Amino acid sequence: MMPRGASPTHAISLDGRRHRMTRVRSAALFVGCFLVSTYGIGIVGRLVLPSPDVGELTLKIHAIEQETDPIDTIAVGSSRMLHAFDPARFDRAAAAAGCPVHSYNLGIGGMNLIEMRYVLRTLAAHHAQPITRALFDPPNDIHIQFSNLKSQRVWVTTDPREASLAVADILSHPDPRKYSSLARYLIAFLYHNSALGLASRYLEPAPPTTEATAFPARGYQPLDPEAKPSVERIGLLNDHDRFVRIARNLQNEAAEQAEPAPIDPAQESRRITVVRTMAESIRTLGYAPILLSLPDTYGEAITDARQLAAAFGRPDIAIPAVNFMDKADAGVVYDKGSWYDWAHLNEPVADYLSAAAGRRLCQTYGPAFASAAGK
Amino acid sequence: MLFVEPRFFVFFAIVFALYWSLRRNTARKWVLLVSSYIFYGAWDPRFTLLLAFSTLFDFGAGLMMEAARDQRRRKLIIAFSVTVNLALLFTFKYFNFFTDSFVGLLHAAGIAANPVTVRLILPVGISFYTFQSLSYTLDIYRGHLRARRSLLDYATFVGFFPQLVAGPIVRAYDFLPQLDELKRFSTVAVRPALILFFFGYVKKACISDNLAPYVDAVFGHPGDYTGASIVAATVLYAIQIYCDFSGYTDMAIATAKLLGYDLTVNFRHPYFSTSISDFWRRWHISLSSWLRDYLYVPLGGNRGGRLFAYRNLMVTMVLGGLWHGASWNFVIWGTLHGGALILHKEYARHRPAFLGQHAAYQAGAMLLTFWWVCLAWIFFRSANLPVALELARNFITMHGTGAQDIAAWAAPVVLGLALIHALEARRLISGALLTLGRPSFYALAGTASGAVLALTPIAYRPFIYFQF
Repeated sequence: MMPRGASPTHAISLDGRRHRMTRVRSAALFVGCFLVSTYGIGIVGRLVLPSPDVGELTLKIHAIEQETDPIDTIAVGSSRMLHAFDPARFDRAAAAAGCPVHSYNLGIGGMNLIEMRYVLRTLAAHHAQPITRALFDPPNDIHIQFSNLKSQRVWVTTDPREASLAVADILSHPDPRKYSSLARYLIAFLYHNSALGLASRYLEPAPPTTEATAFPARGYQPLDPEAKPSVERIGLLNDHDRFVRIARNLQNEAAEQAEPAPIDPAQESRRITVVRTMAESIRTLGYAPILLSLPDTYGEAITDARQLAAAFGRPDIAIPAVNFMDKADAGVVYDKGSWYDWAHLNEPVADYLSAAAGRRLCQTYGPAFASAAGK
Repeated sequence: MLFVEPRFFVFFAIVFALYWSLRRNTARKWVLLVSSYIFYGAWDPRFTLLLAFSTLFDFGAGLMMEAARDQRRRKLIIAFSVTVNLALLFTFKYFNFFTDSFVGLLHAAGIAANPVTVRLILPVGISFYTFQSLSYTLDIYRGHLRARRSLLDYATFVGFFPQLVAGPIVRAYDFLPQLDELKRFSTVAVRPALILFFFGYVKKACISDNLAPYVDAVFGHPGDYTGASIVAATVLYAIQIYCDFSGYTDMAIATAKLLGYDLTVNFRHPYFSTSISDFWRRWHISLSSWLRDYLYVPLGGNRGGRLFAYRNLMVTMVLGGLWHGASWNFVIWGTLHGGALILHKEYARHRPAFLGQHAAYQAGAMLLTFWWVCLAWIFFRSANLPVALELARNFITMHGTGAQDIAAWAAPVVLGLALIHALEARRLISGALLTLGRPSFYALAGTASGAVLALTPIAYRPFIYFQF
């Protein structure tokens, strides 16, 4: 009924407003229920359903079964580890120093912190024994490419149980693109933890079972500068003069002949916390963590590695650490001929690092470093 | 751009908001036309040139035909229009087939010939809009329709994005009058449209696309599977193609409805048909009625005796098969349907009248019709004729040479889907949804939309009928 004194126009406008409000309420109800439903199903589904096997990350774990001698040491990390850690050289050098070990390179291209934790959890589930230690290189920052948004690796990275660590890791990197990385992670997180694509991962036909692939050189992939160059190597060769200048500066920084690249103390503190969390999670899985800071080609990496080594040497943390961006190695690792491309060392330098790692770990940590199998 | 992709939802939200915010009909038609070309250009911008050419050509042909004073001139114009339209269709659709066949023939005759390196990309939806355009000029020629004076109207009719790439094939006399009236949003049945779109999405994304990998696996390697699996995969393909195509149609009709337009119904639960004739009254209705009106009837239709009608029927079905593509598989598919139609017509002449009403008879007839449709689908789906023949033999004998099995899980899935389909055939699901109060409806719609995402595959598969 029209209120007394109200004109018909007023009544129509009231009616129209009421109608609009009803529409807005309906739309809000729809959107609200949609979000609750899609994220409820998505997150509960991820927590309850068994995670699918991500072949790209677990292939090497299955390959360990092909090894005739039992592996007791694994080296885990991104492509830097993949191309820089030669298990055979490492074992020989450690044995010569009195610590016999048998290692395997679990480096995987582009691996980030969350993927590394996934790999180690899967490894622990498959090979509880006799692996006793894990050498790890602080991995790449989490920077999701949208072209890979729907991939299984991004699915692993956006595990809601790992969300706080993933965000902490992104914010801990001294990389100017970290806010872009955070936005990308958020979008990927929203995608992978919604109902979209959740059950379909389990509805797809299982891929045909294939024989476990055996990796030559125990997972190590050397980069030969004499072989046909990769796209990345061509990039370095084209930019050679600039690279030589940068390598010289880095060499001076590492050799402590130049000021280190500054990192905000609060950020470095976050970084140490993240890497320490990683080390603690390795320990929780039953492996002794060893930090292996492999060289990188930006100044902050040198500062970061130095501060990580110092922090890990503190009695409250006490985790073995080897830093290859220090004074002792600066001449070798930042020689202009040491690098295959902007991120990876070539084979002779990888030989040097692997042998140096084996020798130093044995000399620094003594018989405690020798494997039970080797004793 | 697929109806199930997130970018379509963004695209449609913009079009919808813009369209309804405008008060003038002409402005709205411009929105529809421009958005239709954007939608079509999302596949390949070059395709829009072909669409524009086809539109301009038939628009001009229509005007010229109406202006023509004598019948002979009208005949010449319509012949020219039909020839150009079919030439376009043949060039893009059959060029690769004929050049490959020609080179193959030369090889068989011992003449060395280089393979033709020029390959033509099939513009998506060309068969649909060519038929739509053809029906316009043919209707003007027959005097059933006046030529449109407004190019904007005609271009909107041909390019209307909801049905542009996979139908339903809309007739000009159904659609053009709808362009004349200024729509009011208050008259749009929003809720039925949303329900229809939702059902279409579920059919396409959650059912068809999830069945596809299993069907692909069996049709790709039939030798690896048991006889029961061959039967199961064929039935699954029948479900896949129905859900894919009718899902697309549902979404097309719903999208058009949200813009205030009505499109032709294209499917009426075809797998519940009790004969092949019944099936063709329920499956791809807009194509079968097009073929009836513009091919079967001009061929002579029922005039001239039974045998003559059967010949016309067979020609129509074989050409209908070839409409899908240049392949012997489609010819056989059309022949199987044409043959079954003739057989059924003959049988219907002698069948005792009381039989047709019996429930058990109807159930048997439904199963037999479905079995035959499935047999024909084998030829429609298979990559080549030898594979189709092997699968058809295995389907008929229910004997396979392999050990892999999908029948164990497929049977309950098929039964479950058939039950849901039977309920909806009686409008029990959509009817119940329409009776809900406004808050309950939108709460349920939101919850259900979120939930179905869980069954949406990671990668989008194009609609099967886009290739036609």
